[in-house]
Amino acid sequence: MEKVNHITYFQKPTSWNLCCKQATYLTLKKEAMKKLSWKEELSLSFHMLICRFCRIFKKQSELMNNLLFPTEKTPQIPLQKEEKNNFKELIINNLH
Amino acid sequence: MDELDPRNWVELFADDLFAFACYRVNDRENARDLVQETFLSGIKAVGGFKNESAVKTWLIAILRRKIIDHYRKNAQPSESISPNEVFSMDNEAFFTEDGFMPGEWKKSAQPSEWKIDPASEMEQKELKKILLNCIHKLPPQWMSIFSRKYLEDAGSDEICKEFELSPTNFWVIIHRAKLYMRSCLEKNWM
Repeated sequence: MEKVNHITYFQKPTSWNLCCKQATYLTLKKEAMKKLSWKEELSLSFHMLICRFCRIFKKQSELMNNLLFPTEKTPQIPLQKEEKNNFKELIINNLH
Repeated sequence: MDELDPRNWVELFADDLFAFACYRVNDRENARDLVQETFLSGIKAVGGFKNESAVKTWLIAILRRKIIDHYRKNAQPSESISPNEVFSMDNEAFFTEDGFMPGEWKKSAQPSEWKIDPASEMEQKELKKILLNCIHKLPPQWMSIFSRKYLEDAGSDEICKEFELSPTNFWVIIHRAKLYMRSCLEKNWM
């Protein structure tokens, strides 16, 4: 894996006026860490005010998270006795 | 009950493994097959099991690899994108690299609003299916990292350690992968 640092990845240092590349990056970081440094927080909220695309990105990113890892468990039929017995049989047949 | 004796595994672990799999593959039959394969691989490998982790954790790790393989196997090759393509996609396709303000959304990559009815379960299911299809178009390492993060909700530190990544490397992968996933979903949904 190539080594990256912030400057080479974004081609500019992080400052108060973020570009969209930085803003989307920080959006994901915030989503996962729940928290950013106050500087990052401030510059991100400013960017979000003026950039419609990054707002859409944020919304869709959250939607994707919910789809992949829903907070509610999907209802399911637990393993039935017969299925478990099949497992057991299989295991015994494969023991050496 | 001896956890190392495979004869006790169904009693001890089948329900948990099955729940874990159901949660991730969204299809009961597939989930059951994956649990079965996990048991079979477990039997073969149990001789080499070291007591570093609980048996359950160890079986879940096997199951997790089976799930990733499952998605890889079911990838539609015609739509597959080679890793190189994805790599070049990031730097050229999403954000401008020069001009007055580098790092802006490129015209072709600007996100557009999705018309989704949040109440429609059908739509949610369809979306999830597309999304899972998009995941296995990621390069393998990204796919593993992305699934650990978003399907299993693993902590960032934990994943960095597991894949020997620096935090910046980790976030760059997550960033690229998520951008790609978003655009993949948009292309296939609209």
